[in-house]
Amino acid sequence: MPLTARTSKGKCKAKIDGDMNIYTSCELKDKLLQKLAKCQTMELDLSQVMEFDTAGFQLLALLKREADRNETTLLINNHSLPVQDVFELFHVTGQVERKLADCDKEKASTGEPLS
Amino acid sequence: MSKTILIVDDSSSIRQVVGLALKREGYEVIQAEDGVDALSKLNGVKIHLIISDVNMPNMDGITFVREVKKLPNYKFTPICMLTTESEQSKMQEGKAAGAKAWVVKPFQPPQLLDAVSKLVLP
Amino acid sequence: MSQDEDVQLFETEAGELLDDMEQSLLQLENNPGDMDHINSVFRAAHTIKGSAGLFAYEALIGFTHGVESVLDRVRAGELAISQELLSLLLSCRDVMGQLVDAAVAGHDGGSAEVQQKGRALSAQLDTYLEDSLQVPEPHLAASDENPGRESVPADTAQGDYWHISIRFGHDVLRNGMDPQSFIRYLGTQGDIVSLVTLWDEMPAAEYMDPESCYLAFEIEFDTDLNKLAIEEIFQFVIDDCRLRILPPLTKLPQYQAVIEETDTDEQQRLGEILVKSGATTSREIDEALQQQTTTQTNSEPDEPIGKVLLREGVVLPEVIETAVAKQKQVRENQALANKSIRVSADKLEQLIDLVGELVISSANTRLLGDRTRDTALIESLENMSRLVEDIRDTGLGLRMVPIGETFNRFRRVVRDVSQSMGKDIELELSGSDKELDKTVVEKIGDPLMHLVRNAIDHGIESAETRQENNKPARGKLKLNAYHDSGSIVIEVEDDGGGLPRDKILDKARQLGLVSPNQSLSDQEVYRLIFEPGFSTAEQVTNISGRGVGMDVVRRNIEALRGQVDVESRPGKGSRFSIRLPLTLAIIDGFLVRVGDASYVIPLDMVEECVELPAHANDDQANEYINLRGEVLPFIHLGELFRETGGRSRRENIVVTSFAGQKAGLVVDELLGEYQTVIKPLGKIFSHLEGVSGATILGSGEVAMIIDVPELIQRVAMNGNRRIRDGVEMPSMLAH
Repeated sequence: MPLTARTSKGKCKAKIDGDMNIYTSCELKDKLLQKLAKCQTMELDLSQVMEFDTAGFQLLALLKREADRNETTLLINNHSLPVQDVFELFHVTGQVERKLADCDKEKASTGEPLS
Repeated sequence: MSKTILIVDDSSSIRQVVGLALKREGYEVIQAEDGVDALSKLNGVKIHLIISDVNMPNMDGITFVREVKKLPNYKFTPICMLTTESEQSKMQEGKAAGAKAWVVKPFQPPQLLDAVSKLVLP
Repeated sequence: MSQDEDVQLFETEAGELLDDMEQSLLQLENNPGDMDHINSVFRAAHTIKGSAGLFAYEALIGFTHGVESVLDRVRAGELAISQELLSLLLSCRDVMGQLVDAAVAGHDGGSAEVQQKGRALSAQLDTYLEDSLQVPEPHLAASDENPGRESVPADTAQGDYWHISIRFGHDVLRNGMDPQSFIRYLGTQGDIVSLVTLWDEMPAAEYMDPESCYLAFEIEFDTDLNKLAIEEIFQFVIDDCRLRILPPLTKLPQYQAVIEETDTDEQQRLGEILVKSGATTSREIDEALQQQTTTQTNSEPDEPIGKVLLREGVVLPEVIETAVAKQKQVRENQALANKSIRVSADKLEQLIDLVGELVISSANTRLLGDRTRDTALIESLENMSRLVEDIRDTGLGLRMVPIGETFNRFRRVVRDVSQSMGKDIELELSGSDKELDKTVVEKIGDPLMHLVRNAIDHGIESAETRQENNKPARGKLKLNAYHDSGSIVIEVEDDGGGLPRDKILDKARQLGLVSPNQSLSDQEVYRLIFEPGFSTAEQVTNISGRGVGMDVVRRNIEALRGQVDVESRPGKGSRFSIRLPLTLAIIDGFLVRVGDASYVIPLDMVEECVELPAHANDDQANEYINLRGEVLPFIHLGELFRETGGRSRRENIVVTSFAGQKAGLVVDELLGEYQTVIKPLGKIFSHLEGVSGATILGSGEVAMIIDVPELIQRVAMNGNRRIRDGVEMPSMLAH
């Protein structure tokens, strides 16, 4: 079980230890969304993420979108090297949480290049 | 952390050449000589890519692919088939079974490495 | 088809291909990059080699293979066309022709001389095959048939990039394919200038399947890969994704250029043209075709593939436009090609013969019909003869070929002869579309060749002389053809120094053609060069050349019922004009009776008929009448042909004209227009003067066909001499 989380006073500190990939994505999705629903702020520590594939990335994107929708603060911290790598590759590097949100906004403002 | 590739082929020379080329690129290589042998190697070890011949004794490549797709820990592993031009229908079968990548025999190691780089995450 | 017929077909085909090859090579001299011509040359070699294979003409195959290999490199843009290469290829083309002739004649390989020449040329060809460092023509992009790097200058670096738009299918992750890897790989094949990751298709959290892929990417990509190669990067996921690859705008002219230059020997569909140019790939076309069929069933039927590609954003509108234009052009060419059918000359000859008989028999039937005074029958016969006339015209039309083919052959002659003389001469062709009978075309080649050679050899001055005389250094030779009252006129005109009047006159006096105190007009002097024996003597005039006799030219042309004339202006150039009948087979004739016999006068030379004034016969020597103030010399056909029998009391003059000269032919009776098939006279009658052939009348009677040009000349000559000698000036000229 790669996810550990501890919630107190509306603040959830979560940490993923291990792979964040297609094999673990279903379980992680459910757990993360559950935790997110029950807090005002979530701090997600990615320093121990080993394998990080596109399924893992999508999960973060989903999490970010849900957080924005529920006006929950999501802080993603300490990305491990594999995570940084993918963020860079997908040009979503930097302050990931904000950048992720920007991407959503950008998409909304420029219209969809693909129907 | 290095990635592990399973190479399944009844020709030991192909296993040898491919294995060597992959090792030189820094991959861990596990060899198997047919489908049955290969399935027995999928015993909990993390595998990042399976390269499999189509025509093999005991269990052919297509059946092997179908078996892999049943294994919870390996069902999402990319599978690259080694086919020949004349095995077009086999290739289509393999694709349908879930092996979406292929390299046409005869090939040179660089061609295979090219395909591998599209299939294995760094 | 028998083996012989096969061989014959091969010979004909090879001949045509070699002609094409020569024409294209010559065109390439001015236009070294013209892909159409490069392809045409290649195709000629390629096809000849292929057909030769059917007959196992090993020597021809072997030699042509070398030529083809070099041309292949030219076609691929690896080898640039140079003057030396063109000359080499022209020589190779000649040897190919000799090898074809030899092979067809049954001794593949040809004479020792040909073999030696072939070996020498092959060795030269090899040097072009070894040397791989030739600079390619810059605009000849590597063929897009091979996926790989294009030899296009990196003009994409100025902010104009490939645009790749890819939306991955839901299953790619489950299939073990990760978009990451592909994007990473893309990064190794070029520069990802910008990339936007999109997950707008990701459904609401509860429906989102973490094993499904919802990602899409918009990528600006800088690479020198071609479209197909970019597409191949995604080959493992291509079935599971939506991929659009838009070329940089700077590629646009290149695609258009490639489309223009694309080999189009078969009818091509728009899609194929686009794929060939690299503007799109076959996968995109397949997808568009699928779109095409779905929209057909849904809404608007039959949306053209071009539109689908445009709507789908696969191809830029400008590229489609170019491709559509190309397609149209191909279709037109195709239509043109379909219009012609190869028929053996023998069969055609037979048909023309039969048509000739039909014409005669129809004329006979009409005569018989007239006697019955049965109006209905006469009317019906009238209709029939009109149809027969049409059949005749159409039948003869079958043998008509444009003179252009003959003209084109002179490009090579002009090039070779002028080069060997160190002269720079430009050949200008006009009227190439004018048609004339194939038999005439075949026979006119030699006389034309004489005239052209002479014009280059002696007509056009050296560049230095020209410059001294303030003329452009480059000489000009014109070949022109036009139709003129039932004849075709072919002109050979040069802008050289003109004929040397004085030298010609001196020479003519030496030869005794002109009496020492005789004065001649310029025109008359120039015409002297056609006199027998005139130019075969020592090189005195500047047209005598290597003993090429102008009299031979004249004889050949006259044998075709034609005439040759010359005009010349000192310092400006000269113009030879050859006037020929359009066909040799059938003429519209004017039937006349002379004594007891019938004669036919070619109708196109008949101007009018007038009654012979009673007093004109008073003085036998005085053979002129005043035709509306003009002097018209005439000749009694009855006397000329020594016909006996009833001379009518009221004789008629048939006024004939040819090439601007007129003469009257006195006949006993006018019988009217008559269509007639010319039966050539046998050799033993060739000395007969005044007749050019014979024909069979409907009654079975034989009628001679009057050789009007010859008679006119004879009459005019007599007249001139008398006038010049100052005797017998007809009194009525004073009127």
